[in-house]
Amino acid sequence: MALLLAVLILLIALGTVAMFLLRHWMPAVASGSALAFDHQFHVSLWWMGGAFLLSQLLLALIVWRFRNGKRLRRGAVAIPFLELGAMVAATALYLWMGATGGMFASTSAPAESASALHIEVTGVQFAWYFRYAGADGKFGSIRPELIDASVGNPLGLDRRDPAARDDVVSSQLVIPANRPVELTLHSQDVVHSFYIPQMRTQMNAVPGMTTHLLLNVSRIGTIEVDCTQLCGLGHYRMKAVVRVLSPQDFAAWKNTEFAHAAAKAE
Amino acid sequence: MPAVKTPFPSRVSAPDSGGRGTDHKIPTGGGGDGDWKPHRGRRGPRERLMRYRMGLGVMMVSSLMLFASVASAFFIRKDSFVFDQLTQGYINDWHPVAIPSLLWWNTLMLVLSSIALEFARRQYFREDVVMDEWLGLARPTIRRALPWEAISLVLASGFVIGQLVAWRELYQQGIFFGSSASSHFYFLLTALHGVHLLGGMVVLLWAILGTLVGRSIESRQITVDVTAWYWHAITLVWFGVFALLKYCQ
Amino acid sequence: MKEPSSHHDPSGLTAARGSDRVVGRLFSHDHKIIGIEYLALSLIAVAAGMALSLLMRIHIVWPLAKLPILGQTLPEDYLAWVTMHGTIMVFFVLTTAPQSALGNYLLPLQIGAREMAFPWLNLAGFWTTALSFLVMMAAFFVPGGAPISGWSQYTPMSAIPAPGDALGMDLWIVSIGIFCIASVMGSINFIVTPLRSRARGMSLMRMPLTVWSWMVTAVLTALSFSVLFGAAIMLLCDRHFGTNFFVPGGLVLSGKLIDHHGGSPLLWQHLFWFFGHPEVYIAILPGMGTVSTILSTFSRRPVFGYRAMVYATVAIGFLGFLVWGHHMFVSGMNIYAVDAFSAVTLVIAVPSSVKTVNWLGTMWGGRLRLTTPMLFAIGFVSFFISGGVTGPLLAEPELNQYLHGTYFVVSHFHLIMAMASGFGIFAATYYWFPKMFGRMMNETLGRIHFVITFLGAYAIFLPMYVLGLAAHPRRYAQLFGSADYLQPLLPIQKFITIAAFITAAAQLIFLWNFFWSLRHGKTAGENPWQATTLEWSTASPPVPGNFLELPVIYRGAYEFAPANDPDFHPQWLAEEAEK
Repeated sequence: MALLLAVLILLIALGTVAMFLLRHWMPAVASGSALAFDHQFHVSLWWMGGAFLLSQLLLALIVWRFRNGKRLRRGAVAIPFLELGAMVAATALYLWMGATGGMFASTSAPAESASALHIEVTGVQFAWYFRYAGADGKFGSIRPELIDASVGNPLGLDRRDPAARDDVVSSQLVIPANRPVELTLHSQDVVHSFYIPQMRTQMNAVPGMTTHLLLNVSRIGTIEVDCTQLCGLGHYRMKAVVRVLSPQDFAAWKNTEFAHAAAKAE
Repeated sequence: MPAVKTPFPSRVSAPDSGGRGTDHKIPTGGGGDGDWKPHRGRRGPRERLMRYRMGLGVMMVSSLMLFASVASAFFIRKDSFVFDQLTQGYINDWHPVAIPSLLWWNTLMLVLSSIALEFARRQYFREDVVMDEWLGLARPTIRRALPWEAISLVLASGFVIGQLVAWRELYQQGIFFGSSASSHFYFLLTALHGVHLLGGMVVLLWAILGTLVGRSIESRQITVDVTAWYWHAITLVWFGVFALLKYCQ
Repeated sequence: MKEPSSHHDPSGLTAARGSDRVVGRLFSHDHKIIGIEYLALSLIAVAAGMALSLLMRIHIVWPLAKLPILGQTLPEDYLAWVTMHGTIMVFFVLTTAPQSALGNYLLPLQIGAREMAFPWLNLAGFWTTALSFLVMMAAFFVPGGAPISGWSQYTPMSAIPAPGDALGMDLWIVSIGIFCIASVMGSINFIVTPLRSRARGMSLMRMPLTVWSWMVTAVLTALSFSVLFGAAIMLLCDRHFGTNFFVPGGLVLSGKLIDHHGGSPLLWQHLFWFFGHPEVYIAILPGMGTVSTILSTFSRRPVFGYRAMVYATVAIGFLGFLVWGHHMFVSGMNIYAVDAFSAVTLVIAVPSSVKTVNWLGTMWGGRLRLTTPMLFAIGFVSFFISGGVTGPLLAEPELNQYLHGTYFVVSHFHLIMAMASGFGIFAATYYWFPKMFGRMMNETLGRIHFVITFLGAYAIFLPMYVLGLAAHPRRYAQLFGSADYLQPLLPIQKFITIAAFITAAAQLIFLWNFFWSLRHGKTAGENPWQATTLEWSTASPPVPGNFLELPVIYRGAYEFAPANDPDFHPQWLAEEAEK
């Protein structure tokens, strides 16, 4: 039994490591901050993976070595040095992880800048809507009682407000590459979470308050978005697509959409 | 053997107290093992009492956490700004409820009720009272403790009725449970406190009935003692609730 | 308030004889009977919880499958199962089994007491828990079915009556309210009994670590469940009495403007997790104590660093109240609060690491006897490591932004809270079964049960780590219809489902072993494991009143000396201990 148990633990420990190394499980990286995330994650994972492997192997070793009282020790009942040592080592490791995590966050997060493109994200059971301020650069007012997706006003834009009339509402998030984008999130009904795996980030969209997410995407293409906060029966299919365009393409897209909205407002 | 509080030190230490002297907390009936700490195992007349007091303490700490959780919700709610769809900005919608001045009278009644019950509690630990009851010579608690218990119960009922009248006053001003954030907390906290007090009143009624039907003095000692401490704790909680509603809005 | 008669009758013989009838037994205030009643309740609950998890596993990979009786199931059914699986497992299994069941049975035995401090309160606590369980199960059978908003019941979803969160949700709240009261009733006994009813010579530092962990757990229970109680009351008021604690204004749900304004969804999250995080330790601390005892007994070595273990238990209990915010890193909470919660969370990993080192130190240099309880205890340590190492990763807010709400978290807390705690319960059941029923459980069946469960549990939860790395959000009813990048993960999900079925089937071996051994197991005798703690000094099962004569304690709880013969020194024997 000792042999079997030791082998089982060994197999599980090595199998776990193999599983993590088998392939790169995380989705492709789409932004600079995601690259920094991957670095920090892998460093932390190596440390904790090392601790995992070491303890599991030690466990297997103990099971094997001390079976049936081979190598009996009178042994100490407590070794203060060992315990203090373990405590200090663990504290140092965990605090180091916390500190480096904090440092990488402050260096890699996209800085808030005046040139940032502001987009409003609204979570609704079970879809995401994205609102652009339109030609005037101002978000118009919203009245909840006007919300009605069937008449093409899923956000309840108050058309009497001139600032609202030219707002563009899209079901796709279209953003330019290499330009800071500030998302302002909120929700119409329950708590959602705006999760962009390729940018290694998420933020809850909470009714009654606004939250913010800063992006700076470097790769042109499409990126998928999920909801990671249980929001109802359609939670699993609450998804969206981010289209990252080159600055020229984005300008073109913006011009047509804004012109279209302006025409509709007339 | 019930516990007593000896009002004056007796000259002679109890025969089986292990010669530990007169100041010891177990005047009689304690274990004779001098090297052993008291209050351990089922030894001594106060043991059961201390056990119940400690149990009550745990319960009160738990209750206190309940009030603390509502109070922390109160502060968070009071200072929170919510996003308003109309103005597209953050606004604070806290409108304090004017606390009825009747609550001062209610507080007074509760304090008096607590004091009355404390008098009753002390009667139960007087040596002469306890000995008479224990030996079956007389039933002095009926004369000496019962009136205090009754007064306490009446005053507490007065408090509860006063609280209900205060609610009615608010209703007449058109302030209901659901009216505003402040009224939520006013009604919730007073109701939670009232339910706690009602629970205590049921136990006190039980103690009074116990005295009338002549339950054993040991049981009644514990009932009254624990109820009295509970009462004091509930009174303190009321101070907290009242201060929160009156001065922290 | 009436004193149980056993107090006047030293051996308690007459008290138990009077309660021989079935009804008398059901309502007996004897802590051993109450413990077994709790155990039976949690056995029923764990069966229900596991059945729900299997239904969930089927729905994730075969959403179109027609199930017997249930027929075609829908995503909302899946969410109802998720909610009820979490609720039943957390409250009626992980809180009930290690603390209320095993603790009730063993705590008085281990400190040399005849009874809990308040036997009648204990009895009331059990029946209140049973009532709470009935109310919870009733949620399945009311119109609208069980709630679908997850065991954490985030507002405003849970605060607004809606399809899926109709009457079932109200029953959920009421049931949890009742459970809170029952838990506080139970915790009073668990704190007062070890403080006031210990036998002579049983100093605090001679108490078995199980008693320490039950006591600390009870403190956590008393402090945290009343907060949940308060939150539940406010939630119920929001649903039915027109208050606005948790629901902000201007919500439009299913096309309808909700008549609420001004509440804060974050307030619910704070209150819930202020309870929810200590709850995690309520589930694991008793298992830690059990495993320390079992590792020591079957290594024939004292617990390594007994005092450090006690201090670590207390430290975990204390710090457990300061880390709730790490469930809310992406909730929109204040950024400074995020950093503070992260730091405390990393610190709480330290006492847990110390415990792991001490478990390994206990076994090091011992004479291992790999009995079934020992196997499960070693399994506990292995799971605790595997689940624990990802804790510091999740505690970094920046990493948490990616991993939050994915299967990575599911794996992390299942490995610790479900698997490690579950193995703690299994180890305890195999270990104390002889004491409870006077017969041994079958070793061969126990070993088969262990090997399949150990491998099976790892086969279920380790792949969930990589699902999490691949950004698979949790609580997704099915892959079909969700984001494209998730579709290649279907084979892994299928593998997990198959592993779950095999592991669940292996539990039938345990059930068979349990009920077969009740009648046909080898007779156990007083001290079959040659253990040192006090419960082994009395008959198996213990006589009414626990001990014929109250024991006197002469030494610490774990005095083993593997090189000597005999290699153990029970707490209740007077002869000089080997120095």
